Amino acid sequence: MSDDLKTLFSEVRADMSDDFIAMDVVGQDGISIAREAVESDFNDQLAAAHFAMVMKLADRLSNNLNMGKAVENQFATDSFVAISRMLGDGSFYWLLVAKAEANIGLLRAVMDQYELRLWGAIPS
Amino acid sequence: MKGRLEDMAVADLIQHNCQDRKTARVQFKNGGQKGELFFKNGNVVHASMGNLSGEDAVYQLVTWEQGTFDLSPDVESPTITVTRNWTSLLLEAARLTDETSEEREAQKEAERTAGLTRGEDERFVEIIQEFSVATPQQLVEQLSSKIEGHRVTCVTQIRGGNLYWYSSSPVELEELVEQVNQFVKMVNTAAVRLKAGKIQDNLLITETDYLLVYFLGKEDFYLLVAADKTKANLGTLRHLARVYGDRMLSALKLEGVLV
Repeated sequence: MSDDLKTLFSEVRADMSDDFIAMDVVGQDGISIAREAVESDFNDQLAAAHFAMVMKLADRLSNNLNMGKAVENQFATDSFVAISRMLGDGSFYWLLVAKAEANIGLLRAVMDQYELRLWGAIPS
Repeated sequence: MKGRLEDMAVADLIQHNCQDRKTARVQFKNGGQKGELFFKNGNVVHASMGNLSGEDAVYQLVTWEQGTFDLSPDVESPTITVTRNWTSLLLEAARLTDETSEEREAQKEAERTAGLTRGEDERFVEIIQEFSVATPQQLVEQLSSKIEGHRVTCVTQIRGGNLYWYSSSPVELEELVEQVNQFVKMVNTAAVRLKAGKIQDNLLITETDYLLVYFLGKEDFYLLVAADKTKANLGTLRHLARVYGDRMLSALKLEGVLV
């Protein structure tokens, strides 16, 4: 993990409530380049890989339906909520996972706050 | 002695005449109606009003609040139709008056209640029509009408086939459903692999639209709602999908689509 991403993740983590489970910055290949997670049964690496496929298909679906590019996907189950948000040109996405009872509005607000900085911190 | 009933009530006249142990006749006029009371040594001995006589006439006369009276002292009654003592007579008159008032109030209340009941019935019928008895297609249309920037609402199944749908703008429904189905399958796979439990919904936000998939929890059925991102409110969209999703499930069961 680059120092910048590590620092930013620490900041994001500090802004999150106890509902936080995990977050990753993930490439289109489904491999995470930065991660932060609490001790839990949740497999964020597996989630990163699956949601990379979900986001790729979402982008194709969106283009096919003339809805522009896919920007974000929110996936809610009775055990967690996962928000995947495209970063920059869409070559990476940010996966944020929280408990099912988490406030989605707050999660998105935190993502709004750090989205550009995270994209800027990805090593090029 | 003459006077107005507005100044001295019939009950007061009875009381005064009886307490003074008078023998007299009092004639009453109230519009076109006439009546009379006879007193003998401090008791009411006869009363008449229209076709009524006796106690019934007394009870009616006591209710008069307007009119005139004309008291002629020392006039003997031609007959005796009242034997009850004057205090008992007034108490009974008061009881009957109260009862009549209560009945009137009860009737008013009943009318008010009936009015309210009718109103509530109408509202109840509206609610029933909107939700309980609504068919899946009606629910789809109702939901569509409540979403700003609505594009399409569809109830479908992952294995294929759009069951009920409504579109507010031109859309290739078959293509939309087919593509969304593939997407939903992938989301389902992710959920299974991640042991995520029951999926509630999946919201895809694109540059221009919201595409919400609300899972109906039975046999891979889901509710799909697409809306213009610049017009729709995300919170409202989610809330309505949840509300109508649950009702859709009931409607599908009623239709026999779901067991």
